[in-house]
Amino acid sequence: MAMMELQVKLDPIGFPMIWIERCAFYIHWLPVTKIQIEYFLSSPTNSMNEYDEAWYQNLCRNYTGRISPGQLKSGNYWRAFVTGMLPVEAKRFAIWCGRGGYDLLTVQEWMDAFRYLSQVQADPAYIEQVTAVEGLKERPRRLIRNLEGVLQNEASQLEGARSLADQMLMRLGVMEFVYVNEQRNTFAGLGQTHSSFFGGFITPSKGPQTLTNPAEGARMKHYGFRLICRS
Amino acid sequence: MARIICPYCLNSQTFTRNNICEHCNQEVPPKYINSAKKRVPVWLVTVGNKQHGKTTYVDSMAVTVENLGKIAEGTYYSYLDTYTFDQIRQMRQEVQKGILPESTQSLETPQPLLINIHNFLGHEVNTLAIFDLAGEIFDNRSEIGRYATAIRHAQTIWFLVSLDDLIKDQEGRSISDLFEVYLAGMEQLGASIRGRNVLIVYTKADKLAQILPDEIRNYLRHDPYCNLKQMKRQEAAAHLLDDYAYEQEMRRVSDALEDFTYNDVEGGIALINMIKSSGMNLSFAITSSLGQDAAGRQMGTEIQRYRVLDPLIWALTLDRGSKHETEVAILMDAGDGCETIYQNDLPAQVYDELLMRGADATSYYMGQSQPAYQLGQRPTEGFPRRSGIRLIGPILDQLPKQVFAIALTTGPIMDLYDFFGTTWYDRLLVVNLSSEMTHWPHIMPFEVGQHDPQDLVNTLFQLINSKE
Repeated sequence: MAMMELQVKLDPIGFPMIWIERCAFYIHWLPVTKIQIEYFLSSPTNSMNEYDEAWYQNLCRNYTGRISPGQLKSGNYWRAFVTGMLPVEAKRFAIWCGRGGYDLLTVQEWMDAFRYLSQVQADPAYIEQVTAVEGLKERPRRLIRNLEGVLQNEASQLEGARSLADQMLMRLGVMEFVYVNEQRNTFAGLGQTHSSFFGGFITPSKGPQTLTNPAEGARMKHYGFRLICRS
Repeated sequence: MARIICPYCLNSQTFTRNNICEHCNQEVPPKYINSAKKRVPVWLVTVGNKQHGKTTYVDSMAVTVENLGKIAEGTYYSYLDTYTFDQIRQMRQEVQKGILPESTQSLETPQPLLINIHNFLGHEVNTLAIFDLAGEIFDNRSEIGRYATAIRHAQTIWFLVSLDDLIKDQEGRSISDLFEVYLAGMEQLGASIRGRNVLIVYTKADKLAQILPDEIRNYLRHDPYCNLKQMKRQEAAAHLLDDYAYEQEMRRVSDALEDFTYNDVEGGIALINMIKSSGMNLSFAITSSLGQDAAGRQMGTEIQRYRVLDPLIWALTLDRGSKHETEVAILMDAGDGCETIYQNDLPAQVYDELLMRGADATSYYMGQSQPAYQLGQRPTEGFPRRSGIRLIGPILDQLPKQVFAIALTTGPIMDLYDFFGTTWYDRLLVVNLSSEMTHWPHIMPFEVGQHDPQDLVNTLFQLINSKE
């Protein structure tokens, strides 16, 4: 497929999302990062302290520790993403981003996006496009560029050629919570982790991972999420 | 809203309702308030021993200011209160009659001369607040703190030294003694000296002709403004001030005077090393306020003043960073163990020191993206209502590029390393009140009771000035 012109917007925190025409939604360029969750924790609407320091420190200590964009390496880069959250907490974050506008993906939506983006060959120019968007702050810019720099060398972990979907870490990111179906009340997992992080045997081509407790999910160190926005 | 320092009691306030100081109840000149809102006043303090030429210099400087408009287009002056007007008038009369002024009287609260200089050195207005302190107070270390509160506020100190008088001094004082007395005074006041400017002004240069290097003698001799008061319009037009070139030459002569001090002045090496190791910025100037030896107490000849302009220009250029446009974010720890910060009201002390330096500040609790205190609001005493995670990213990410930040923390900041290699690398000062190591290029350990908040702000201003 020829080089695409990405349509990029920023989420309320300032992290990029790209438009997928055939899916009719914007999708986060990356799985949700710890930086984004920290914005959520710092916002005035978190004044009830429903998510407080103890909650966040639990995630960082017992699931994946925090890492700065400048410290990413092939053996630790996944720590940039938030893991260990429950699906209900991920939904709460989505509501905070914008009620009705932001949400987790369904299995179908995730697979549709993945299939489409997998057809697009990876290219450094896409990183340039995304990081050139007006309003992007230094930290996300640095994170995106450094992730690309690390992952370019991890292609051996992948089945097939590296694609735009891989630049967006739909593989070699985290396992992502998704809704099982349009009813949006049970959850499964899609994605692929790096073998040094967690197994790496589950790939999108094998379909969604069934959870032990699909209604509530569980805190798992290799599970995170990304969001879509339909407007 | 900008807070302004009352020139009489030196307390800060906003003067929103009227021009009466809410602390000392004195009426502050409206012109002072209006100009201080635009640009922080330049606080000058003259320091020096008896009869070393301080007041004579201030006399001469006032006369020079009155005639600046001849050589700097559009420049004019105004005296802001009756005290200043009366003092200057008295000085003028004495100068006109060729009479040397009497020694400065010691006052419990020294009164400053308040002078506005308009359209000079690229600024719409510069307000000078000049404290000419009595020489005797510097002879008594235990007294200096009582009389010299004004020293605390002055970012630039003029040390006026007559080397000729020092050589003849029968009490055996050296040039480094002068600085030691100043240090004692600052200690007594609990004030930090780090980051301040010291201008050593050698007075009575006419008496040093035999010992000065040729370069400096020539510099004095070829002062184009030595007869500024007498200069007519046509002559003045041919000698308009090129402030850039003049400043460059001043800096060159300052280096030459430092060499002279090092090589030829008793105690000079100790003085230079003492000042520099204390963290102060050192410059030199040389003047002759009378142009020739004063025989007795009266002179009948027209006075020529050599390089009297230099200390004034130094004071205005060294103080360049003091604009209300400097904006700072104070980031306050709200995590476990943060009580130390608030028990001693450190955020408010930092805020007050920033104000003194002409900066405006917004205060945030770490882990909370909305300001706790808006721009211009003093952070009040007390602990934060809710604890917060030690995160600064959601705050720093939203701040414009011209804002600097000072983070007061009692523990590791979770996302500090995110800012290595970003534009915050040289805009953030971390003040560490804990014993835990934190790695950051600009970090200061701080222990309440052992360290001075002024130190923190001086260090921050070194960052600010290094980027200008």
